[in-house]
Amino acid sequence: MAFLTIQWENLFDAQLAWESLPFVLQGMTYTISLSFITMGIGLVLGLITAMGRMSERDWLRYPARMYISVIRGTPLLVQLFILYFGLTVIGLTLEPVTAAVIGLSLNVGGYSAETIRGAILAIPKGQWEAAQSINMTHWQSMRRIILPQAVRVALPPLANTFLSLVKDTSLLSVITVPEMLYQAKIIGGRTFDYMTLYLLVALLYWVICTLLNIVHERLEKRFGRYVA
Amino acid sequence: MIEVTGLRKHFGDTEVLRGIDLQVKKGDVHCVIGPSGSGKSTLLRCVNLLEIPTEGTVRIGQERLEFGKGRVKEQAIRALRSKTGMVFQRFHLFPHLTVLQNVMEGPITVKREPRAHVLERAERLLDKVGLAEKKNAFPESLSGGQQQRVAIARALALEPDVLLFDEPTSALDPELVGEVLKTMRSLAEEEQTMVIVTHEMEFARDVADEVLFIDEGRVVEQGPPSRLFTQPSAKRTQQFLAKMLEASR
Repeated sequence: MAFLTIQWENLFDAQLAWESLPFVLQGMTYTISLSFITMGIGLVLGLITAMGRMSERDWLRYPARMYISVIRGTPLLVQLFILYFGLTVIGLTLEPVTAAVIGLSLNVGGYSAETIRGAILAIPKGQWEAAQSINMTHWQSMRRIILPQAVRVALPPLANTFLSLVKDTSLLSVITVPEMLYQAKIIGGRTFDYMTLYLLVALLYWVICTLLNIVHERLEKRFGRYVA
Repeated sequence: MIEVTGLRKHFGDTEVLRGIDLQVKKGDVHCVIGPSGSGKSTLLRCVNLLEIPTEGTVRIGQERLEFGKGRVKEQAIRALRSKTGMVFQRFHLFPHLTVLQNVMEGPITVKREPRAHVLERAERLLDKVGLAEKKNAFPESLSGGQQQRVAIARALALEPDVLLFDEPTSALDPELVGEVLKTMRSLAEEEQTMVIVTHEMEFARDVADEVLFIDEGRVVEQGPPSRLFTQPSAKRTQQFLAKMLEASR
């Protein structure tokens, strides 16, 4: 029964993991900076798209719906392939990081648009009327009264979007962005010990996400402090 | 001060207001009474243009608007609305702002008045409604009666020519009604012009200069409370008052 014996000693080589850490952490700077940059751009896109989606004007509403539908209806990996490999056929060659920023930002934009729209619609109509009654314009009401309250509603789903985004940056390894997983795969290939490196990367993602979760809980308290 | 003539409002096929006239002199208090669904609230909301009337004219001070003759400009609507302050049945305070910020929001964001100036007025108004010590609290930590008094201060902060009240005590627990009515009484004594939609008959009798009974989108009867409450001439008014009296027993 020797072939059923599990070789635990091959699972994780702590020494290799320790020695690879600096190289993998170089990748982490990409993971983290790309996450924050694309979340920022994506939220702006999401806000604009949400406004477009709620507009009474067809020429704003239809493109917004189309954009959301395409982004949510196609895999992120395919979107990245189209941006990085596909566009070369029309003579548009993007740097890996450029393709990554565009792809992830568009993705976050599509998802957060629906979250933001839902949060704005969740604010009671009385708040709009009260703002109107003190003679605010539509945009003053939106900016001063509705959006600050919508932030609280949108925060938990947006935190989810952000956690997914952080983990989805690992997809960028296939378009040669030197983020964490890409770096780990290089060492894995060199040492033929993929398992150690994958476990190391998994552990690092988990640490990042746990820290972000703590930040999220703090933010939730901060934005919910007025709720009795 | 206020002059409303021939006011009509349709919602689709239903006609909620069927030609209403209303004149309020400066410093007067008018109370509007009537059964639910009679159009009282809609009348009020047409005066400050939260609803755009289908037909008729609304004049407040120098601002006059005519409806039913083409599109009315947003700017004109806001000019007229700036003469009014509104107090809602369900307060609608801004929950993410403190009591003081709620009162200051209008003058600062809308009228762009200097902050120090507004702060002083806001504190004075909160003192007047008896909530000076609550200025840093968030609305949701207050009782309904306190929230409504903050809402009154918020409306007053814009220094409107007329205050409009849409059933200001209907959403309150019975023991909290008194404190709001007391605040409104003191405003009446200061000759603040007010139009009040209410079910508080006793309050209307004490405070109003004129009472309007509205039913099915029309003013059925109007007059000073001393007459309207004791010798109503229209049958519909008599029925309504009898019912209200029965209910309060």
